[in-house]
Amino acid sequence: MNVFFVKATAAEPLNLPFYQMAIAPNWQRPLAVAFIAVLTALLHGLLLVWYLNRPAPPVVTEAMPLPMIDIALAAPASTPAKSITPPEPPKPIIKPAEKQAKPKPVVKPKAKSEIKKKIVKPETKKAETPPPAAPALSQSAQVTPAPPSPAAPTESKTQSTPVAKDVPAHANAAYLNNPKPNYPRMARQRHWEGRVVLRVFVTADGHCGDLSVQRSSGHDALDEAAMDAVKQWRFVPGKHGDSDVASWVNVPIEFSLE
Amino acid sequence: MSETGIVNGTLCLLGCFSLLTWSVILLKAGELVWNAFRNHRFIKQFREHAADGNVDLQLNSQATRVYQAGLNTLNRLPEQQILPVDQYKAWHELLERTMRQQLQKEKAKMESGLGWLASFGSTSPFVGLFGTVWGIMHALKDIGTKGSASLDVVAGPIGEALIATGLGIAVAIPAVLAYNFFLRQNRATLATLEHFASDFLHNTMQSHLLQHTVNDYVHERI
Repeated sequence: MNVFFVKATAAEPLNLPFYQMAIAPNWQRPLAVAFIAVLTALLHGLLLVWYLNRPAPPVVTEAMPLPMIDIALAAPASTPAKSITPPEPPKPIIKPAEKQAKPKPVVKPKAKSEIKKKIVKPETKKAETPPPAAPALSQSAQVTPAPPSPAAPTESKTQSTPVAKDVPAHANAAYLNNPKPNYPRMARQRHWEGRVVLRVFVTADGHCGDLSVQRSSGHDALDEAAMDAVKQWRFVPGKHGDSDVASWVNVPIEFSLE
Repeated sequence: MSETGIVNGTLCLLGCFSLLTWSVILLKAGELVWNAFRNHRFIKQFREHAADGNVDLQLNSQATRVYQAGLNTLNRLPEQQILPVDQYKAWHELLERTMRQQLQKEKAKMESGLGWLASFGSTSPFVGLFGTVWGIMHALKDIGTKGSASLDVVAGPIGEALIATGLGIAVAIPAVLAYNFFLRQNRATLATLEHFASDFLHNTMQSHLLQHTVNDYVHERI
């Protein structure tokens, strides 16, 4: 009895090419495959969309130099003459020789000694004057025997012209005894240097009413040191004609390690 | 132009790999759950109703198919009451082979598609690496022609090229993990089925032996 080679099972069911799934030819399997394929494609699409639309990281931009606004008088002049004929104050970039010829304030020699390493140079210019000399140059300019002394020429001008004119506040008169900013030890160790421009509101009695950083040096420590120092300063108040007025002034402070 | 084309082509290829990988993963996971559930149900039902022979064969499971294959062979047993003992032995061997064949078929079905996972898992890092190498090569060439090696010239193209490697790894990791997982699960499922098949064989042999001894006893009495 040859029962050993009997065909064991019925005909082979359908084989799918990919999965070789022996399935009954019904709709379940293809439907499952299609559903899974669509689902996967959808998930991938979602992932891609999320990746493309993900919130961009905050862009770090370089510090840009702000446009310099030098003087803004807090109390506008009551006389209309000011706007009609704005007088030309002496430019700070005048040759030192010329400046020497001009009458100096009595405190001039002391002022020279006062400004040594830390360069404190008030910018005494009207809006229409060209921007100040580059900070790098200012160091050599400061060493010149004549510090910019706008008070002196304006004195002569006010005498000669009866028109009420505006003179900005400044802080470089030696009798003010303004202390130098403290160079922070951390900044010194790390060789941080830079130029801070502080915007100071000078009250009519010469005190610092308000101040903010106009242009940062790039290091908070230096900015803060400069602000701490300038807060204590006394200023020569701005003048409108003969009377003291409150005004805004930019005070550049340069930190440099020799 | 061509270099970005090749890098983009690599990225597209990796995207297709990812699509296929995840399709296979989801399909196999669905199959796994389905099979495990059905097998469990059938085996439980079989244990309860094996004695009275009231087993529901409509339940579509792997265990049902194995059982069906054995039953087909068993049904071809001649209707005679008594067979010589060596013929019973031959029938049992046939039964075992039939069920083993069905088990092999089930194993092949379960392992289908895993080859894709293995291939994607092992090749997609290299595909991504190829895209990266190609992109960096041409970025460096561009830097050479531009003559400047500043950070913005170097960093942009190389960073873009590195995306390919990242994508390759991102495709490969789930593929490899899923491959190993499914291999292990398939082994476990197959062990369950083999256990079931040997149970079936065991029961059949036992009943035949008992029948034989009964018949022998009857013969002796006659």
